[in-house]
Amino acid sequence: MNYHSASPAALPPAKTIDIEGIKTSYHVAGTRQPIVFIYGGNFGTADSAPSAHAWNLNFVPLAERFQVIAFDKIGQGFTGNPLRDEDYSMAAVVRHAAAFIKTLGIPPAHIVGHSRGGYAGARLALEYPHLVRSLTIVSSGTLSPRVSTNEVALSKCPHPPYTRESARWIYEGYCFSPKSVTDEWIEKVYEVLQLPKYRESVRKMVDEQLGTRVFLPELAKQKRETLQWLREGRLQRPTQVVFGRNDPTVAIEGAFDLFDAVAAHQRKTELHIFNQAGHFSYREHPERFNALLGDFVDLIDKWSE
Amino acid sequence: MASLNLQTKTLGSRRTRLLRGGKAGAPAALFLHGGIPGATLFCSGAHIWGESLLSFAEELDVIAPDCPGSGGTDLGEEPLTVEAIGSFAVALLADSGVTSVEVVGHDIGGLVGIWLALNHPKTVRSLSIVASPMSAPVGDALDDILLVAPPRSLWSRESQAWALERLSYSHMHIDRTLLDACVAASDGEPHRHAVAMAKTSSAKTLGGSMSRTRSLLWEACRNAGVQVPVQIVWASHDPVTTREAGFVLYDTIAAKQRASQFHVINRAGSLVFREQPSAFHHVVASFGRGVRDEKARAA
Repeated sequence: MNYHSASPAALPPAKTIDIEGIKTSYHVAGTRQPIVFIYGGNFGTADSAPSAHAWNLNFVPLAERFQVIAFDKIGQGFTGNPLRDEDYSMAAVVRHAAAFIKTLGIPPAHIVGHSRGGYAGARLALEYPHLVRSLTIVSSGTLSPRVSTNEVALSKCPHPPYTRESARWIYEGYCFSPKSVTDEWIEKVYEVLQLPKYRESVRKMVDEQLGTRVFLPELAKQKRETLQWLREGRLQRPTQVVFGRNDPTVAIEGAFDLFDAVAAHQRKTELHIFNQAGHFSYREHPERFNALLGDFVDLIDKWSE
Repeated sequence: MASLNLQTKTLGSRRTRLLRGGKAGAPAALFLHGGIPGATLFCSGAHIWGESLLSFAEELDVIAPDCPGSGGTDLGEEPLTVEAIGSFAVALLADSGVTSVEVVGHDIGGLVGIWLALNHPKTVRSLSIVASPMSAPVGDALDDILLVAPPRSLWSRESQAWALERLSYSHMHIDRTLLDACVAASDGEPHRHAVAMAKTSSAKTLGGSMSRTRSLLWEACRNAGVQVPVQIVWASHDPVTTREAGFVLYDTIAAKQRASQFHVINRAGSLVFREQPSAFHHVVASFGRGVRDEKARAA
C-alpha cells in the first residue's frame, strides 16, 4: 500500500484526554516517529471553524508510515473552551498544545503547523524545544512580518454566520480552486459551528470583546517577540517552510522572509512553494505535500544516523 | 545497498559512458550534469553527482551519462548545442529501453531538461531544474567576474579545485575523490576535443542554442505551458545565480503548469547535490513520487 496516495478518508474515532482541566479531543493512528498536526484559525469566528479533520487527506496516508496525531486546540473543534478570560490568547493555545504533547508522553515530535498553527508550532519549538524534533510551517501569515490580507479576501461574507454557505464562502476565498472545498470538509466545519461551546467562544470573543481586548493585543506583543527570537537564532530544529503561490491571505514574500530568518542560523532549513495552491496546499495537493512531509521526516532520521 | 555501474556503449558513432544502476523495474531517472565542456573551469561529468546518486538508486533506475564532450563521452563532430545534448539524451534513453523518465538537470543540464520537456513531453514524466542560471531570464546581466582569474594551467588539479570552491558555499565537499575524477576527465580525449572546439565554434553555437531554448520556453509559457510537472530547485548561496532569477523562472512556468514547485536548499552553492545531498534527495525524490501518486489518483 502506498502511504503517499491520498483519498478522502475519515480520521479514526476521536479520543479525549484531560489537559489541565480542558477536555481535549484528538485522533491518533500509526506507529514510529510521531507527527503532530496543528491546524490554523482561532476560536470565536462565526463563519469558519476548523477541527482536526482539516488534516484528513494527510493524516490517513501518513499513518501508514508514522504515528500521526491531530488534536483540537483549546477552544476549537471538539476541545473545551479556555477556563479563564485571559486564556483567550495564542499563549494559552501554545501552553495547551505543549501540555497535550507532554501528557501523551511521545518522543520529540515532528510538528506540522498551518497558519496560526504554524505560529503555535514555532512557539513550541522556541519554548519547548525538547518536545520538538522538526518543524514544518505551512502558510503562516501569523509568522510573517509582511502584511496579511485576510480582511481583503474574506471580510463581508455575504452569508449568515454559522451556515454551510458562510463556511464554504470563507474556504473558497482561501483556496486556489473552489473544487478543493469539498462538501465533506464543509460538513465537518458546520458540525463545529453548531456546538454550544463553540457558540460560547464566539460570544466571548465578539460580544465580550475578548478578541480585541485580549487575543489580538497579546498576539501582537508575542509576534514581535517571536520574530525577534527567530532572527536571533533561537529556533534550533530542522525546519521547512511550505507556502502556496496563490494564497490570497499570505504574501509569498513572507515565505522568503521566514526562510531567511531561520536559515541564517539553522542549516537544516528548506523552502518549498506549491503552485495553484492557496492557503491550504496540504489539501489542494495532498500527494505531493505528503511525499514532501513524509520524506522530510525520514530525512531527519538519516541526519541523525 | 544500491550500486551504480560504469558502462560504456556506442550510440551512433559516439563513445558514451554512463553510470547506471538502482532498483530493477523501478521508475527511470535521467541525471544531466552541468558544466560546459571546454569552457567551464572544472571538468564535469557523471562523477560530479557524487554520492547523491546512490540515494536515488535505492528507489529509482538511475541513468547518469557523461554528456557529450565530458568524461568518457565523445563530443561528436556536430557543433555543441542544447539541441545536440538533448538529442544525445533521447538516443541514450531509446538505447536503454526507457520510454518514461524523471529528468534531473543541473546547470546547463536543466536547460537540456527544458528542451526535452518541450520536445518530448510524453517521455519526460517530471523535470527538476537544479541551480541552472542559463534556464532563467538573463536580462541585462552584469559581467561575470566569479571565475575571471583562474590559476594556471587551466584544468590542473589546483585550477579545478579553485573553480569548484568559487562555485560553492563551502569547500568541504571538494575531496580527493572529486578532484581525482575531475583531473581524470581533463586527461580524456572528449575534454581535449571540447577545449579545441571551444576556441573556435562551440562557444558561439552553444550560446545561441541556450537563448534559442529559453525563447522556446517563454513562448510555451505564453501559450499552452510546459506540459510536464516541473520543479525549480535553487541553492541559498549560489554564486552564479540569484534566488530571484530562479523564482522568476518558476513563476513563469507556474503560470500554466499546475504541478510546479519551487524550493530553496540552505547552505549550498551551485553544486547543491554535493553540499547538501540529503536535502537534495528529499526535494527531488519526493517530487517524483508525489507526481506518480497524483497521476495514480487521477487515473
